[in-house]
Amino acid sequence: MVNNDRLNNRYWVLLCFMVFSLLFIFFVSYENEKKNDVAPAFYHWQTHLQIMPAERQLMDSLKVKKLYVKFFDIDLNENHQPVPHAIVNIGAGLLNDLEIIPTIFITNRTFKNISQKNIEILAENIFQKINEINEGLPPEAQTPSPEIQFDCDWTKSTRDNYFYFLEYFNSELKTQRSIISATIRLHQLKYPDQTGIPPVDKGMLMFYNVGELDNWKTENSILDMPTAEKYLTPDTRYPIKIDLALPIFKWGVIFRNGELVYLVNNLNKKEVADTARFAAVGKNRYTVKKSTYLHGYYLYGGDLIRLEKIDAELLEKAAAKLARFAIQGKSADSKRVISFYHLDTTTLASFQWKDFKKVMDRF
Amino acid sequence: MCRYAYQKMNNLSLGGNSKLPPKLLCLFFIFIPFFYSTACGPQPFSFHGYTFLNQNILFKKEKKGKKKTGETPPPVVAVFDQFYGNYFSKNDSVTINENIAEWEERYCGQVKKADLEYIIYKSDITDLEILLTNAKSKPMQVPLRLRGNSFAEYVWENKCTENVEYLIFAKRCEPHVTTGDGWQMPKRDVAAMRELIGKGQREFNRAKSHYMKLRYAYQLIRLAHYAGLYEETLKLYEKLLPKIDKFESRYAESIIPWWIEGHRAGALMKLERRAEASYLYAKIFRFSPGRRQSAYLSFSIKTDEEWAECLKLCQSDEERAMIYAIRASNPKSRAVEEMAAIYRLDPANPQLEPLLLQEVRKVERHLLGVKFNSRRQENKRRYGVPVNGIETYTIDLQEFARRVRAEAKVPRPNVWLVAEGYLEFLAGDFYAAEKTFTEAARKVDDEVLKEQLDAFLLAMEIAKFDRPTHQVEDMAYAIMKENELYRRYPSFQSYLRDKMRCLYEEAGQESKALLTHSSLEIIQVNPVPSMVDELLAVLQKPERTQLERLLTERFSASDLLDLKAIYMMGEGQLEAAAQFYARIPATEWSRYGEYNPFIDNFNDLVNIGPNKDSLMQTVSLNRGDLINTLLELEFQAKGNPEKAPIYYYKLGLAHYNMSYFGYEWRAMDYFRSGTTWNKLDRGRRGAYSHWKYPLGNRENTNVSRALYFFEKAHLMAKTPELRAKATFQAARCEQKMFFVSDLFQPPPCCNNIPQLPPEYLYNFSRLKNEYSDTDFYEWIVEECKYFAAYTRG
Repeated sequence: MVNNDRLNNRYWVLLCFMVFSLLFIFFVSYENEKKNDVAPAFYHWQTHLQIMPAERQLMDSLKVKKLYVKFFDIDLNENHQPVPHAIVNIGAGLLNDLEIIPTIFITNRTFKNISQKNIEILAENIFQKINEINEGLPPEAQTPSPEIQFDCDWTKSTRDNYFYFLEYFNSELKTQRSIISATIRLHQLKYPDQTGIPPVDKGMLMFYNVGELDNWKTENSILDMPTAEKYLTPDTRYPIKIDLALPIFKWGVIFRNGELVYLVNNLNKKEVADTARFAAVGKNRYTVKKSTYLHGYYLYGGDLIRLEKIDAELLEKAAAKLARFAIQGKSADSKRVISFYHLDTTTLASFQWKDFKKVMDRF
Repeated sequence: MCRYAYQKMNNLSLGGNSKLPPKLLCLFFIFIPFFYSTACGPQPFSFHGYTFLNQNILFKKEKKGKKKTGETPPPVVAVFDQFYGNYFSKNDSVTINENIAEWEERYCGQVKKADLEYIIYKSDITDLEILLTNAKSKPMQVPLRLRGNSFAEYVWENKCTENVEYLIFAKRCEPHVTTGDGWQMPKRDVAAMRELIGKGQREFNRAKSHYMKLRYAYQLIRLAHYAGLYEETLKLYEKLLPKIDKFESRYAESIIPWWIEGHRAGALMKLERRAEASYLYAKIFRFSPGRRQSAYLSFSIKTDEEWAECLKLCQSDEERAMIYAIRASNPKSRAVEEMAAIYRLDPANPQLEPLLLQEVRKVERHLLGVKFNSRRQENKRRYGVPVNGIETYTIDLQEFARRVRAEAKVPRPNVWLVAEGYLEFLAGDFYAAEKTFTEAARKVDDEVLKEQLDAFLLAMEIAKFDRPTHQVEDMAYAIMKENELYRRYPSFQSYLRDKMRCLYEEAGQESKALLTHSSLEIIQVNPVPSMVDELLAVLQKPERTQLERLLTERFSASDLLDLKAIYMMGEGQLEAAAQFYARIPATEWSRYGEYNPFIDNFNDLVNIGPNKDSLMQTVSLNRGDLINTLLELEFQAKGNPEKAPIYYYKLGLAHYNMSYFGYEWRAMDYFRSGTTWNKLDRGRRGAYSHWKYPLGNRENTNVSRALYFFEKAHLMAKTPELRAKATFQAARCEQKMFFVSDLFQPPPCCNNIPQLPPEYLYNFSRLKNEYSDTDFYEWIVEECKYFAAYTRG
């Protein structure tokens, strides 16, 4: 009996050990797998591509290998022809081992009243321009990139032309090893039947600019979580693979005579602290007491300013919300990109390394 | 990614004359369904507003007999134009024309413009080199390719070799200063450009003509600027310009110094000397029409310090006023501040009036007719118009205008007086506006300004209409028919229409409101009984106003009675329909078509009716006779049991065939939309949404009455064949009733035959179970695919 009991006890101990071991292995491997699924990235949205040492240090510490660089904007000129604007100027250094992903912003009006032939010409011109800029990148950067991204807030009236552009680019111009991606707004994610699904290899969901920007009462139009949540449900799905872009920027929204007139990038509290020119009228809200220039914009007495920014807490909240969605929609074939908009020394000053790490750990 | 799509540009046009005859214009205004083109149609919505501002008031002098033709508008008008989107397109040609004109003038008009244009912009260097050689060598003639060119002939004759040498040099510079189209940016060969600058300086020194020196200086400064040698650009300016004799080169009259200043300003801007650069740009904007566009766009002040520095650089109040005007002409400006500054500096400054118009236009966009604008909700939603703060700004602008006209330091105080009145009107203070306009009417004697005042008065007169009384309707009619301004200012059409529409709606006169902007067709496709009654009442009034006559001109009481009868038929109230028809003179019954819904037609495609033979054997009836026949059949069926089954079957057929699903749907409807088929379950009391019809489109989708008659026919029929036929027709009705019910889910694809739930399969089952031995059954299984499918289960 005793021997049997001992045997039984040993048996149970062994069994428990095995079960715990298995559970441990499962959780560790799950955790590893989870972390391996995400690739951090940044957007670079300025016209001068010059990575500062602090920026590079942050990128390295986060193991960032991808940098979405806005190469140029496309808009209509005074002759109503689509032309590139704000072409990126490549600065020296610190791009080594980074995969530079050309990102092209195209205004919606570019695709209004444009013939199929002109869409093809536009696609070819863009392709050539991308190659031209790629040639100017330092050899240590990883080019040409296997991805090209297009950013256009298409509407019903431009959808067909934009999608034809993407199709043409995809089928006629991209190289065999490259993929085409497109930015997706939240309303496009929510209503794919109405807005259409861009014919691209993957999308980049822009999880920001969801609030009512031109309403003075809006608290924070960059990321209004209650509004954003309306667009996402746990079962939200999209027919193509979705990467995620999260905001880290700040700006000032200027109202004049009740109307939104300017967005002033990187505007912060210090810059409106001069009580001779500005007066606080509420949380993050100011009025211009005396007409003045601010960030190159002339503001009139009586103009209103609303400061909006994303802080670490809000960023993490957004990540937490998106993580649920991300699990629903993720694709097994490659890592999901979590990209922060955008890389800028002023912007990054509001964040610490651990803030980004926390966000990445959510996925 | 965070881009700012806030382009809320105004798309209204100003002024303009219509040549349409008054009557036709009135009809056009009333009967063209205005909103089809934008608001309710498939096209995107555009801003809907009005404007009565006439910018021609800027170009006229106030006193009679002092009008000038071709008077140059004040410079800021260009910005005003640019605000409205039509200025910049002309700019390249302005520069070319200016240059050719100057060359021509320097040759005392002895060379033709076209020849100059060829030499300067089209000929190649070889042509000019041969010309130069031949001009220097006595026995040589004008080169063959340039023979007949008055410039070449003149140069050869007068041995003006220096000019040709300059042109050759200019053509050598040209490839280095192209700007590209954005896609292909030229790569600058800085070494070659430096070499040219060196050569050019030698040519500059060698040139005897100071005018040529001036042009060489321009070429060199431009080369240095385009080469990115900004310090060098400024040095060349300092070095070369003092060497040019201002008198001999007629510096002050030339356009070239402004071109030079443009490149100097560009270099200064690149060197972050923004205040100096902007000051120069302001001067270029003022004095050089050809460079005005680029100067305006390049003017850039970023800080209060730069602004103060720029003001300090100004040599006169006029110059200071200019930089205020440039800042004020930003479409987003709140320019009353700059206007006050300009007024303080230089009350007679010509920029003030265009700025006044620009600012009044901003207010007008937000406030004119805002209470009755037919699309105010869309304007608010899509364009944010009107904004909440516009009233405050209007008051600021109003106060400023009042001060200016009261002080009478400006050349034309009456312009300010009229503007003040208009601003009062826009702010809703009709009493003050009326007083101001009355004063203006006494003082204004300039014709254009007078017309402007009259237009504002007319706008106010219309805005003051408060109820759609006889008097108001007569006044509206008179404006449309007789008022010249109504035709001259296109906005009056929509302004008056929207006002009358609003008044009618407020008075509960929905049908008249509808007819102000649309036609009877809207009511025909979805008859609303109260609206039809209202129109009938209007038509039967002993004394209709002229506006009412105009609104109802395109239809008669009979049309409305026919419409009412159709509505009653759709409701299954044949007796009521007959009563309405009885009120239509019998001689007019044939105007509303002929119908024959009594034919057996088993095809469900409504556009494929019965075959010709069937039609030949029966008689088509007008709608009145058809209604009476249906009533008679019902009456006969009740009194004649022998023939009742046939009569009931016929009645069933008629009701089915006149429904949305039958070939004779026109007997009971004016319009049938194929797209309704996809949303049969989404009707509201028979009306379906339709992009073209704001009231919706009524379809006769209720076949319960047809089903009732087929059921009666089945019950009373003596023969199995008739019972089988009636059962099949009843089954068709059940099927359609299912399609209209909430239970129906359209098959996802492939045009599959929809499955019927058991409660809608009653008659199909009965046909299969009870009449499978009839000839009709055999025939219908062959003929009707969906029935065959149902029989297979």
